[in-house]
Order: sequence, then C-alpha cells, then structure tokens
Amino acid sequence: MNAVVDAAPAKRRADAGSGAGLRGLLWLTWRQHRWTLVSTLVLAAVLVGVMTYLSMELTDLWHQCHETFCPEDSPQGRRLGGSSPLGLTLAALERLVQYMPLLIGLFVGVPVLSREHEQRTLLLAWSQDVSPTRWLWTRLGALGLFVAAVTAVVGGVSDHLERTTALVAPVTLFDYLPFLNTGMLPVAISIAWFAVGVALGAAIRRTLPAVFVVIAGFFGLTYLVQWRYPTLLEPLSVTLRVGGPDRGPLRDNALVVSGGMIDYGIDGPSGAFDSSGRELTGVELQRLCPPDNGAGTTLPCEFDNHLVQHVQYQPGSRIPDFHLIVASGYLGLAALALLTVWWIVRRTDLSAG
Amino acid sequence: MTERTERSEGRAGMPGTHGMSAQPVAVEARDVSRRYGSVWALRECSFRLPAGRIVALVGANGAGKSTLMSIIAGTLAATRGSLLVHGRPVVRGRSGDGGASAGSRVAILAQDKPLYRDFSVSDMLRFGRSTNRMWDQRRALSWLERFDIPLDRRCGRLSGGQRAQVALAVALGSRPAVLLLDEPLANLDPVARTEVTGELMAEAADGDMTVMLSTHIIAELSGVGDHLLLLDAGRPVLTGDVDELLDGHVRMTGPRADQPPGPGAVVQARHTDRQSTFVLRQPATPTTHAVVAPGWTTQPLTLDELILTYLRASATESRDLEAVS
Repeated sequence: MNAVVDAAPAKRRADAGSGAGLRGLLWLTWRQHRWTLVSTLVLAAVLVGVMTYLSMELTDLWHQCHETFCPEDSPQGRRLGGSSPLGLTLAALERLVQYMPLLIGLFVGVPVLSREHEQRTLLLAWSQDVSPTRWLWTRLGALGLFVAAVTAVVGGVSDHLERTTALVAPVTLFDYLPFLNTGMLPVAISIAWFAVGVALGAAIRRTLPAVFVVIAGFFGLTYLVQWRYPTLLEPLSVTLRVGGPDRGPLRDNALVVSGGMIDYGIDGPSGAFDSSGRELTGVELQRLCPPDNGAGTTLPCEFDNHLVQHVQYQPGSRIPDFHLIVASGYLGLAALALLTVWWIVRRTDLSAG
Repeated sequence: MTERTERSEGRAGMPGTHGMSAQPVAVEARDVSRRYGSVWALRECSFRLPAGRIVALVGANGAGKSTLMSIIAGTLAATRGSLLVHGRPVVRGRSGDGGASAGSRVAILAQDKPLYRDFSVSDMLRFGRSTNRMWDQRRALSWLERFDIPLDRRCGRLSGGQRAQVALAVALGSRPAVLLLDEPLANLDPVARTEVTGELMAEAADGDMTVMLSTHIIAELSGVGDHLLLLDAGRPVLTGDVDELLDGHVRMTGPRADQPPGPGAVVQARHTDRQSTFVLRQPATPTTHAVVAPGWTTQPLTLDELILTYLRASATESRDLEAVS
C-alpha cells in the first residue's frame, strides 16, 4: 500500500437547489399527515358547529324560562330531560369531547414514529441532511401546535356549552365531565395524549399494539383522575339543615365530596344528625321520618325535626385552581413523554439490512 | 482431498490492501466493531477506501455488510472504533445539521428501498429537496427519465424495480460524497441491472462520488466494482483495487508438495494424493504467471475465484481457531 491522502473531494458541481430548512420539514410533516390533519379539522368543525348550535338553543330556552332553571314539568324542562333527544345529544357531545384526547393520541400521536418504523422509512428520513432530533422536534412542534389550536377551539366552545347548560339545568360544572370539558383541560389533556401516543409509538414501534396501550392508559388515567380529583385540595365542611330551601354554599357549581346522603333501614350511621348533634342510626331515622315512597312527606318531616347533615365539598370558586392542578399533571405527563421520545430517538439504531 | 489455509499477511490492521496509490481516502475505518447483544456483527474492521471509485462490498449473508454501511451512514453506532468519511468522524444521528460538511455527506439506499408509499414520485423528489442542504433536481429527474419512471404515480403502485430507481434518484439528487447501496440490484431484471450499473459508474465518474455497493452475489460484480472490500464473519479479509488484486494472485497446480515452488504467501492449499493446488498472493511486484518449476502450471484467478478462495480460507481459519479454543 502506498501513500494515502485524507482529503475532501474536489469542488462539486453547482447545486440546483437546497433545502433542509424549516419550510421543507413543515411541508414533509404536512404531506405525511395531511389526511389525518384534514380529517381532524373536519371533525372538529362539525363538533364546534353542533355545539355552537346547541348553545344557542339552550340560551333560547334559558330566556324562555325567565333566565333561571327550567322547571322539570315545563315544556322546556321536558326538552332538557336526560332521555330527551336534546339531553341525549348533549350527553353524547360531552363524551365526544372527553374522548377527543384519546382520538388525537391514536390518530395523530401514535403514527408519528410507529408508522415510520413499520414502513422502514425512518432510515430514509434520518439519512438525509436533517438530524433525527431536528426532524423529531420540527414534527412534534408542528403537530403539537395543530393539536393545541384545534383543541383550544373545541374546548372553548365546549366550555361555553357546559356553562350554558348549567344555566338551564341543575348541574354543577365541578362534576367530572363538565370539569374535564371546560377551561384549559381539553387542550392540556389532548397535548398529553398526543405526546404519550408518540412516545408509545416510538417505544413499541408497531401501530396496533401502541394503539391498544394508549387506549388502556387513557381509560386507566381517566378513572384515576376521576377518583382522585375531588380531594386534590382539602375539602371544606358545612352543616346543612336537611330539606331546607337553601343549599347554602353548595350552590354555584360546588362539588360534594362526602356527606349529603341519608341511609335508611340499616342499623348503622344514617348521615343525619339531630339538633343536639347526635348522629341517628338508619333505624332511628326510619322510625322518626319513614320513607314516603314518593309521597313527598319525608323531607318536610326531617326539616320539621331540625335534622342536619355534615357535608364536605369543594366550592365552585376552586374550579380554576383544580383545572390548573389537573392541567399541570397532564402537561407534566406530556413533558415526560416528550423526553422519553427524545431519548428513544437518540438511542435508535437503524440498520440498512 | 485435504485443504489447508495459510494466511500470513493482511489479517490485522489494513487487510491485504492493494492499490491505494496516493489517492484521497473516502472512508477510513479504525478498528470498528459492532455487537448486537452477544453477537459481534463487525469485529475490528480497519480499512481505507479510495475516493471516486466504485467499491464492491462483498460477503456472505450475515457477514456484516449492512451493519458496516449503516455505521458509515451514521444511522447505527459502532460499539467500538471510529470511522471517518473524507476525514470527518461519523457520529450517529449527526449526518445533517452541520454534522457533515458538503464533502463528507453520505447517502444510503437500504436493501428494501424504503419510500413513502402514499407519496408520488415527484413528492419523493420534493422530499429530497426538503431534507437536504444540497439538492440536484436535474440529476434526480434525469435518472428517472432514463428509466421511464412516471413522476405522478404513487410509490406504493410502482414495481420493485421502479421503486429502486426512485430511491436511487433521491440518493443521487442529494449529491452525496459517498453513496452506499445495499444490495441495489436485487429487485432489478438483468437488463435493468446492466443499465443501472452502467449509469452508476458514469455518475460516479462524472460527479466525483464514491459508490459503495454491497452484494452477496458475486456474479453481479462483473465489470462493476473497481475496488473490493471482502467481509467475512464481520471482518475484512481482503481489500484493494480489483485489477491489482487479480494480478497479485495466482493459482499453481503441480505434483503433490507441501510448499509451492514459487514466491508468495499461500492463501489456500489443496492436496490430493498426487496433486497440489496453491493459491498464492504474489509479492508486490506483479508476476507474469510463468511456469516456475517442472510439472507446475500457473493460472490467473477470476474475481469469483479470488473471492471464493478468500471466503473459504477465512471459514477454514475460523474453524481452526474454534477447534484450538
């Protein structure tokens, strides 16, 4: 072997083009995900349209009911009943908004890396002049912004619909579904499941298994949050007179954490206290004010006997704080998922064979 | 018949290197190793490949060809050692974003020619333009036109051969300094193989580009590669200019003997009761393949024979080493 020289090749022929900039990567992201993005936009537009229409209809009912709750036996009240078409539509929309983050995780998040692994196109993408991390962050940034924008619009309209519903019907915005579908939560939860979807797609490298894991994780976390969120802050306590006309601090979207239920017929605590503060047993309560089987005499009886009950609750004024706490948790999850994706991408080895 | 192998040179360091006379080095490997779990795919690979040539990377299935190409392309990390492309170290995941200068850019075409199935051919060209700092649209288009690839057709609806051409067009359009082609001819019919190899050689000559082409089908190499890198069991066993390698080896056949009658290192020896055949690596000065002793004949080797000889020799040596250990 004779002398060898380390040298760059001679000057190359003039190039007819150049790229690898943000614009090119955005085009690539759009080109790969355009059908998903367009479908998401169409679905979001339909959802927003229907919710806006229903908000207008509920506002109309509110005016018809003299800007207060519509009585149950009024025509407006019957329209709002749980089994009426309007009530069923509202319930379905509430569920749809609740599951929106899951759909985003499944259809926008998971395929970002799993589909590239399945089609072996990562080697193609990562062997160009764009580093894998830049490819990743540009893509996640673009899709994340899209998710945030779409869910912000849907979340805003959902927030308005829930508040309008609370004007005409005795519901509280602190209940789980209205709580999830208002404020910043639709955006925060959607971003979290988008990021988790990407991370699971990157880790599992197969779309279908990752989809199942995302579904399981979504329902698991949903029920965990539903179980835990009422006590994220120390609840307040109040003693209320049973059957009293005034619900006191439980008005204005409060969430009852414990208490407020009276048990009859068992020889244990009933949840009702007499005027001296002694808790009645179920049997004592039944003896004092027997169940009326719909006759409407029990509550007046309990009121006349000065029975009270202790209630732990979260006041409606805490909803923004709770939104902030839950949103922070979801955004923390999103950050963890994104860090995981970054770590996985940095450690991913791709072989040409 | 018995077979004996002697490998007295070219095993450590630069293996059997021939024909690197004052040429720029495109790729230099320094003790590159790669392990998958407990299995070594590459072991202490050291070699230098000249720039502006078509390098044939040859080895059996599992020899480590794809692993080596992936490390050169920066998509796979070496477990040990370092690798330089035009003098710049290759770091996994740093092929772009300033990680590689214009002179050390590498493009790789994987065995299965991955393309975005729902992209049209023109979309794939736009992909190349969007993800490369340098892009030669004319060169990519010209390649596609040569093979009559419709620009508006989705890649998922192209034949295997057409997909290979599109992948090649994207790779060529990025104007790499080193183009790595992993089994590029696998999906092509014989006519297309000839055309592609011819065009590739022209592109390499025209564009000051080094092409590394891997294959385990030795017949594919006929007239294509002008430099050889032979891998076996993750180790380079032979590298050098093809013509010089062929000139530097000879087969000697004659009466049964323990040693050949001529100079050179024995690469392979075969014996029957009456006859011995040696494949010799000649000293640096080329020989004329003359008969060197009564009863002995010498013959030049074809490239196929040379490669098979080294692969067999390597396999025999591995068996001997295993038996000893």
